[in-house]
Amino acid sequence: MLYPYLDGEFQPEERHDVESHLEGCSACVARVDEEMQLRQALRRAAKHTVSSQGTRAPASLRAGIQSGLHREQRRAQVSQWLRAGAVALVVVTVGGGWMTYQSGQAQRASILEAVQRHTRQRPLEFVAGTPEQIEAWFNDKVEHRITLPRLQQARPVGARFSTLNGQEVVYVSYETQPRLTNEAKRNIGVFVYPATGRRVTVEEAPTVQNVAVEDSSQAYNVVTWRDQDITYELVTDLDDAAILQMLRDQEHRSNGTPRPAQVKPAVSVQPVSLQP
Amino acid sequence: MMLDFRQPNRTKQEFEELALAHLDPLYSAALRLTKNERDAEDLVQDTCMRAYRFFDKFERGTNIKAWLFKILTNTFINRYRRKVKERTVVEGVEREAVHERFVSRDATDFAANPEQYFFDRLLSDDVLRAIDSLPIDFRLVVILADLQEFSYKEIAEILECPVGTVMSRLFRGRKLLQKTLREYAQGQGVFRHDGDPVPAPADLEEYRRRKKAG
Repeated sequence: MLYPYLDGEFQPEERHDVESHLEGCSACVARVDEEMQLRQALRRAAKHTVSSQGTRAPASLRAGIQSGLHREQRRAQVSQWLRAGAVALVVVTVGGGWMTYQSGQAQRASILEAVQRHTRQRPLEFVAGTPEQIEAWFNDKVEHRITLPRLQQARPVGARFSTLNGQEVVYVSYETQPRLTNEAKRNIGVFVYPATGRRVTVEEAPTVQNVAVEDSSQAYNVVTWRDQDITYELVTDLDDAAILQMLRDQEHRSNGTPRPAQVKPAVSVQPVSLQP
Repeated sequence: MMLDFRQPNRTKQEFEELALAHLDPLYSAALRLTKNERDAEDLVQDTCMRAYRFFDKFERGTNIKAWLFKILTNTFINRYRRKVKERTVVEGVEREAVHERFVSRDATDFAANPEQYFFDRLLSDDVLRAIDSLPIDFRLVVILADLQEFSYKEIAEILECPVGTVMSRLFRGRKLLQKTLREYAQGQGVFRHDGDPVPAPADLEEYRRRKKAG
């Protein structure tokens, strides 16, 4: 039963069972390692060998689909007129704000996917307690340089590769460091990927969006921001105030150019249907 | 009969909103399936046109991404598989060129970290060959699960088969991949010795029932 575990199909308690078994079973640890190696190799091969242009839908494809849709639409209209016996009509064209709306939809899809990836916990491929160790591990494997956010009241526990919008991204798992001993640790997931070539433009200032998960009492906050050419997407069940505190701390600590501290008011996209 | 002339426009808008948000993942999966940019573009274009024509069949509120991937995989299976097979000769030449590029890239990296990059390079080439050699049913589940990170339930929806079938295809596909790669990597010490016989894939529900029963 290692595959459901590796594929993130297990419930938290089932995952816990497997993990406690792994602590005492080196044979299973070896198999988990082997499976994870295979997956890494698969992803690497797929990424490198097929296309020099990258794996994002090229502009020519988008243009082709647009003109295809226009043709289809006209055909539908014509057949409708024929049925109705209408003679002629001006074709209604879509207004200018449309592109913005569409990119908003793409962003919404991307945010939902981030929550889904975060909640469907796959085992970490690299376990380490400091951002530097994780950065070094990733920078060995990816072409662009990865810089992890430093969160004051949370520390990283490990990382793995993941997929957002069909692209390979870096996922880092953080854990809060409670000040009180009886306080539970909370999970924070941060996706890191290059901002270049992304259709959805991400603001430098953090934007908080609230996502409610249907069929569950859980709600998540997704914070998106950009630092030069890297985009960050943070998923957590912490509330707005706690997140803001964390990001302020990070800004305070970084020596780079200070980002504007203002965070946009939470944009509610709920109720939202999350496909399990 | 009342006629709403804006109807086609509204459908188009809704389609663009819902479906085109998933264009990037569709294209990256198409690249994996067709193995070249031109066929990948054609495949996604066809997929989108078919999806648009059948858009009234899409049940609003259900998983649009899985629905689109279902059309993508069906279109691929019906139309492109034969075509891709016919092109194997040309593709072999193209692959050669790609390979050369990576050898030269790896040559510089190799100096910095010989062991790791030798391992990487050996695998990238072999892994592709191994994936391509998988029967289509296995190749699809491996691509959907490992490269697109779809859940078992979503894959079942895409391929219109039970979750148990997804699990067993995934199991067999991965084992087949490993077997092929182990053969390729024989003597290189890339993979650990496989001592224990592999247990047959169990059913997830069955596992949970047994667990509950203690």
